[in-house]
Amino acid sequence: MNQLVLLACAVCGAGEDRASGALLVMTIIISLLPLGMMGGLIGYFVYQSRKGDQAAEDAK
Amino acid sequence: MEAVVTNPVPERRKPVVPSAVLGTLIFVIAEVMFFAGLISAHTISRAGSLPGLWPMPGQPTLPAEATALNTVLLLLSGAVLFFGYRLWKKQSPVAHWVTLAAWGLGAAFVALQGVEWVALLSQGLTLRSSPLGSFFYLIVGGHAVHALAALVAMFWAWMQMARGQLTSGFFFGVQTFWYFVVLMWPVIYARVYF
Repeated sequence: MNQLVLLACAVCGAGEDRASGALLVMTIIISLLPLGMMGGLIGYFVYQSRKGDQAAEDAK
Repeated sequence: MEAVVTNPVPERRKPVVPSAVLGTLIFVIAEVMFFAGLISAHTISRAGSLPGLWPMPGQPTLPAEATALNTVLLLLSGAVLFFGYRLWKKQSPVAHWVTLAAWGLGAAFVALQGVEWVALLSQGLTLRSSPLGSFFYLIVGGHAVHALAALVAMFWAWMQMARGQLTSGFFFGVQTFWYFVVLMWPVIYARVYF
């Protein structure tokens, strides 16, 4: 087989431990990142809602 | 005499978060995932490459030292924009000049990145020359597109600010978008250039 073809393949070492480790770590990050951001957004809504309620209470 | 019965109109509740703010936050979350996906693919491909083949022989290495200056300019731009926002809230007459300075620093970042691209292309690093080239142009190019769009929005905000017509909702959206561009860059820089 042409050696250049093998060199151009970015995943020739995909079976190695470091590649498996990178796959595992990135899977964890990609899975948790949207959950964290959604959690942050919900937390921001709750904070803004409580702030609005407090302002309305103070205005009475 | 008949009693007049009126139905009290319930007071309309103020939205918890303005629509412009909510829309911008959802957009930024989606964009963060876009870059997270690209960086994830890059990290896994790089970890799977055979030793000594990242970058591939004959391909240039990315100019990490030169890009450090661009990174400083971009981070400074974010800080200056925040300072401009604080001044604008206090109705300072120099707020729009500070905002323009933030825009200038951001534009300098994009221009210097363009110079870097020209140099790398002339050295043979193209979209199809190697996996590094593909990821580099895809990730850094994606960031540059976002930076350009944010610069257009920031310039628009600056013009409105200079005319005294800038709304807080629009400025919040522009700021959020620019802070996303600024804070995304160090992650890209650390993952792609080193």
